[in-house]
Amino acid sequence: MIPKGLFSQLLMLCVSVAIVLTFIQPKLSEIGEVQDSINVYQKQRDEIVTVNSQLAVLVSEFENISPDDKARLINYMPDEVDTLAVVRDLFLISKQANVLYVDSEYAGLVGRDRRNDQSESNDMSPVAHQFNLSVEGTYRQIKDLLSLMQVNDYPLEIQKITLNNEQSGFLSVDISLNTFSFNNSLVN
Amino acid sequence: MCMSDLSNSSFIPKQGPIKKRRRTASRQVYILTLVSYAIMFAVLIGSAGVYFYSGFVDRQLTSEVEALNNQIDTFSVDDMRTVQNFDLRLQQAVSRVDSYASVLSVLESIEDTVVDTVLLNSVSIERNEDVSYQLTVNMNTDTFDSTIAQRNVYADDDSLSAMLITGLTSSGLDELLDDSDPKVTFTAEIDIPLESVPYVPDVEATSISGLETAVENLVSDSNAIPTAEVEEDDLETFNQTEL
Repeated sequence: MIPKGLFSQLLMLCVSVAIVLTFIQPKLSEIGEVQDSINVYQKQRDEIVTVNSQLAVLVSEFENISPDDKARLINYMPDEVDTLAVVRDLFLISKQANVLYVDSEYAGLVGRDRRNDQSESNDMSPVAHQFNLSVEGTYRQIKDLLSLMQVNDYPLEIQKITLNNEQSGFLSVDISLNTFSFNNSLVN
Repeated sequence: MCMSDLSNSSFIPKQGPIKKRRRTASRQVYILTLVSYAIMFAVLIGSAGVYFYSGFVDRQLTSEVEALNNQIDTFSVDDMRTVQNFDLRLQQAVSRVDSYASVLSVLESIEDTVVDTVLLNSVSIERNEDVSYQLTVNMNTDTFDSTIAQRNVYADDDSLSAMLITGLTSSGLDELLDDSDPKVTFTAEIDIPLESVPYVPDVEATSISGLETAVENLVSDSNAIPTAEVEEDDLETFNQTEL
């Protein structure tokens, strides 16, 4: 026959085991999961703090750039190319170089696959716009024209130039040139 | 009274074998009781501790989430976009500046390498991506020797990556024929790497202010048609070693 005291003691042990199995153990594993989450949140917060501080430094550097320099950059690599303004500038440059301005026109966008072999997804090159310019003049005047194009405040990158010797002693010159606009497809 | 009666009436308790057995049994129950009570209390205290620690950890998680949300709120998408936009624009501008080459330098290179007895009919310069300039130069000369000399000059020029003479034709070379001047015509196809003709800015020689002057002139004389003012000196140069 089992004594009454022994029965209660065994019962307490069973209850203890039951409490451990049904409450303490699940709670401990739950605490472990919460602590893992806390670590993840802390890590993410640290990363965000790092990004925020780096961004603050970059914004500070950006704000320290002079407005003139920003304007020059925008002018050199604009969001959109004003084709009419470029044609006007080509005329003005021709006039400045004293060549005989014949014609200039906007020829359209340059096919991006022609410019390099990079895939479109990581293509960071700007958008190229092609213009054609026809002038006549002496060799020295043509050189002056090319010299002025080189110092323009936005790129006039000559892709093709053909110089033909005319009977009158002039050169007939056809120029195909590119200027560029900002390719912001990677930012947006 | 006998001796046995005296011993039974003694006030000293007798320790019989039954008492000894009872003491042993009660001591075993006591140890189990202690153990069971200890385990029970330990479990209860542990449960309470786990419960409170769980609450503490939950509050810690909540505060971490709040801190993370605060940091996320301080992040400015506009600032990031502005910086990225500027950086990308700058990279694209730098890429074009780095690959800029001077056609003027190409023409000067042609001037430096042309033989005195050679005249140029036409020059075509075409840019091959950001790699090289491809030149196609149509030339006239009076003898084959001059042609060979011109080819040797090009072959010895280290700045040219490739050179090919094509389309060689000749006429009037025989002295018996007096119908025309002797003439050897050929086309030189030349590759010039862009690194060989870099653009070197000369800030003093030229400036954008020239354009501003041109704009002012245009405004003052908006209907004027530009005419090329040809100097005699230019024409002389044009007909000689240059184009």
